[in-house]
Amino acid sequence: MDAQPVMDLAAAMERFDGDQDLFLTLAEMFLERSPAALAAIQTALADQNLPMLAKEAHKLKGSAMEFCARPTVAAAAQLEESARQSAVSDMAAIGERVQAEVQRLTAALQVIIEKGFPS
Amino acid sequence: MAEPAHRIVDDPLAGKAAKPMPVILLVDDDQITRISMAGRLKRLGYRVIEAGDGIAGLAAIRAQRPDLVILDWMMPGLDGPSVCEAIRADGELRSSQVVLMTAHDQPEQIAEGLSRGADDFLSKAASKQEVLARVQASLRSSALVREIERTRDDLDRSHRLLSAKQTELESELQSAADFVRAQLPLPGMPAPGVSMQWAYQPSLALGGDLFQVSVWGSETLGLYILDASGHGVAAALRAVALMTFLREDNLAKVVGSFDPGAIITEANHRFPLTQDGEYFTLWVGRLHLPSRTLSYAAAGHSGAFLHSLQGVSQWLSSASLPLGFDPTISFDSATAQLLPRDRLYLLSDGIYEAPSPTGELWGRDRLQATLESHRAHTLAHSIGDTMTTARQWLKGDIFPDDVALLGVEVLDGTAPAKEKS
Repeated sequence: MDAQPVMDLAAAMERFDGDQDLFLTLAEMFLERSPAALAAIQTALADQNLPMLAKEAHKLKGSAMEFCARPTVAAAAQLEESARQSAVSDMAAIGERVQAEVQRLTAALQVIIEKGFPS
Repeated sequence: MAEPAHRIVDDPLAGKAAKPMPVILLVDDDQITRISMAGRLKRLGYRVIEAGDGIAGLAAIRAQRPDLVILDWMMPGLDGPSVCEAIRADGELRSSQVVLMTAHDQPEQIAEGLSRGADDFLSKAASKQEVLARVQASLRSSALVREIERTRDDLDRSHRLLSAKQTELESELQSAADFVRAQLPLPGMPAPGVSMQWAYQPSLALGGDLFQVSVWGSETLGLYILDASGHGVAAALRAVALMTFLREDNLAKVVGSFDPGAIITEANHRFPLTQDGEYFTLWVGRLHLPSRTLSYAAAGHSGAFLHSLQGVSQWLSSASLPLGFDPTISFDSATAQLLPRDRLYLLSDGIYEAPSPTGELWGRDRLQATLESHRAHTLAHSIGDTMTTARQWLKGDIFPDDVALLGVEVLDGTAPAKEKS
């Protein structure tokens, strides 16, 4: 599961046309927001609130896309799709995977924020 | 602002130094994705305005009139497609260029987006190149639409100006037409024992046909009908000039008599063919009231018809050259004897040359038959009805040539009679 890199930094920098400041601004925003985002997903799962779950998963997917964080995007997309299809059986497991991937992503972003971009 | 379609330019600033940068409105409720897209667009050189929801987006469009609107699809309240619909429903905003942002390019999403008013789509996952290409393409369309709107506004302005000018010109023409019409004699009794009625319809506001009936000296009625060649204002101006020559006081001074032949001979000297080949035809008559003797002469004008109730009806014309063709020639008068209740009609060729829809001319024979059929009616009725009959032939109201029809009736008895209506 950890074979795929948490994010494709080169692709992300290509996307931002090398704008490191923009990348850092967005990374900080994501770090700030991710606890609340994950909590919202947990609440929606616990309440079986499928519309809310789909909305939060969609939003997370969009944010992760900015960093070309493919595993996170994939997990969030899967969770969103399950919520839309009301496929409740796998939801908890997918929710766990989303949680794990987000934690990997925030850790990677934290490294870049503190230590700068790899040369 | 518009670039030629075949040129793909990486740097949007190239060649645009003098023009303001396009303004893009970005509407997205998600802060991260919005700041990302805004940052990327600014780095490409565009000016970006941001709005956090559909309502704020619509307000921003109205206030700022951006060159391009980029809308996120999923938003709380008014979502992207709903904002599109609102834009297309608004008369002022509906020509805006609108791009909808999609998470993935799903065909169903595209179909729905298009049907709700989007011009194009942009995936959130799009690369820098794709963002640039789509934005440039949209801005080209936007610039084209703006150009069209500017041209349309210019056209509206020009049209309004032209209409105003047109109205002004028509008003002036009408004033001129009113002046010319005011030169015509008042219907009624120009002299004791004579009644007169007429109909006058120039083909445009003004025409080259004019006529007059007035007292010349004592016991004499002068009558004439003239036709200036051509139509419209130029012909009317020339006609008025000849009319001025034919005033009683001028004739007395310049011709020295009221003999029709002498009048026309003098007019022939004074009104040669113009440089443009324009000329007059003219018929002049002089009716001695006590004896009812009519002397007359013509220069190319054959529109004089004597409708005699007791005697013989005849056209009072003979072959003659119009005025000015040969300034050296002279014209002779002829005479006719009028009897009580005789009617003398002076008329322009516009009335007997009235064409039917198939092109057949009404003709003098039909005109004569019509005039004669009204022998028992009043002069006014005869003239009015003849005009109606001519219009029936025409199957319309507009004659292609100027129409004038004047009737003079020698009343019965020695005592002046009141005009019967």
